Amino acid sequence: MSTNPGNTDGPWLALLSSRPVRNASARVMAHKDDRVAVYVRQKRPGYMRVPPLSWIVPFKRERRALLDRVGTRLWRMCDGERTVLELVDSIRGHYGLTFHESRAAVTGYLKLLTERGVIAIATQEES
Amino acid sequence: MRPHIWRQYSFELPDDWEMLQFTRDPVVGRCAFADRRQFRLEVNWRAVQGTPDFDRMLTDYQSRLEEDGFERVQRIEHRRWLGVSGQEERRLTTRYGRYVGENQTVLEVVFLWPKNRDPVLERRILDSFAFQPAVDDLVRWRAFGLDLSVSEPHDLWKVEALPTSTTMKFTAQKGYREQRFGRFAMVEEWLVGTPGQWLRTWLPRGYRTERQTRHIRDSHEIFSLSGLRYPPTLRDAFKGRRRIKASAWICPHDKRLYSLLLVSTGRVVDLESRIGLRCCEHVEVNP
Repeated sequence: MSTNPGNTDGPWLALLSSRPVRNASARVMAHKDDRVAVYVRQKRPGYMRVPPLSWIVPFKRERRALLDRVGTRLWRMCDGERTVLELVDSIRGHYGLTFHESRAAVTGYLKLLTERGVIAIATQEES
Repeated sequence: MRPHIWRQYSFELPDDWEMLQFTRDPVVGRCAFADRRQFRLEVNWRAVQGTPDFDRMLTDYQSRLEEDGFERVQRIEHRRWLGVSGQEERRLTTRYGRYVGENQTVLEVVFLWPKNRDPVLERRILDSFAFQPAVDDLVRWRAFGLDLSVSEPHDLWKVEALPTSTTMKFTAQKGYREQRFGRFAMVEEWLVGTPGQWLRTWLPRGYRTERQTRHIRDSHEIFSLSGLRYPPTLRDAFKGRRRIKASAWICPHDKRLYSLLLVSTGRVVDLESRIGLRCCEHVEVNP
């Protein structure tokens, strides 16, 4: 017989109660096909301020993230009110996915958007 | 309840229990299923030489659980299943084992109960377990929404279970022959063109399409193609030139794209063309 299965709680539960919120300082432009382009401000790193590197390497003040239709749909729902679970259920209902298919797709996408500074995720600390 | 078949073990689980973990190994392996909140079931298998001494196994296991701090450890049984239940903090687990003579394996099923044990569901799941022998040299698998029949000598080589796409690849003769099955969601977001056009991109490299057809069956528009290995390799000269047959279609019921592919040699290509993929009731597509 196998050993203990360990903690049975799904490791995905903690993230599902968090609330993603759009980056308020980002500039947004509507794109064709119901998509949006999000321009996220960037801080110039210290080493980029020092010549001659600052003369050679151009610094872009904004970085563009062009979202596809799924990303745009998700981004619009990131209002700081809805939880990740609500986003998962919304995508699941719209595309006819199973719960875990939708969860993996949504959390993967949110991770990408967070890395690019398009959204931030507010987590709730356990009391 | 939804039927699952993995490594020829068939069983039925509640509709919202999904497979999240799996192993391909036929000798020792496991699958784990979860509902929305937590893992609910584990299925473990291990090949053994002859019938094991279950009584001794359970006694050993019982004492191990007690050492690990489990409380209320007791023997349980249901028909051919023998097992042990135990509680750790507020978590109750029940585990059953049984010897499967057909393939000389010890099968273990572990239930992880969130609150209270549901004996009716437990019995229903246990009673649904059966070994599915190959029928006409075809082995059936049901997992990740795929319901397929693969030729018996082919073994599961690779499973890609991504959030919205699943591909199961079976091979024989060290990958010389291949049978591949796919199921893809959110088609309206990424599919450009017809499933037939997409199918060409799904083929392995080195094949020249000879014939492409389209037909409609039970309101499913099925795109099929066949081709030949081009240019042939040295292996093709010795083992027979490889042929390819593939089909793809969108099921109008669940709006997903299904596809299957067969790479085989001239001698067995007709025999292996009996492999199939079912997307919904009454519709089975062969390559």
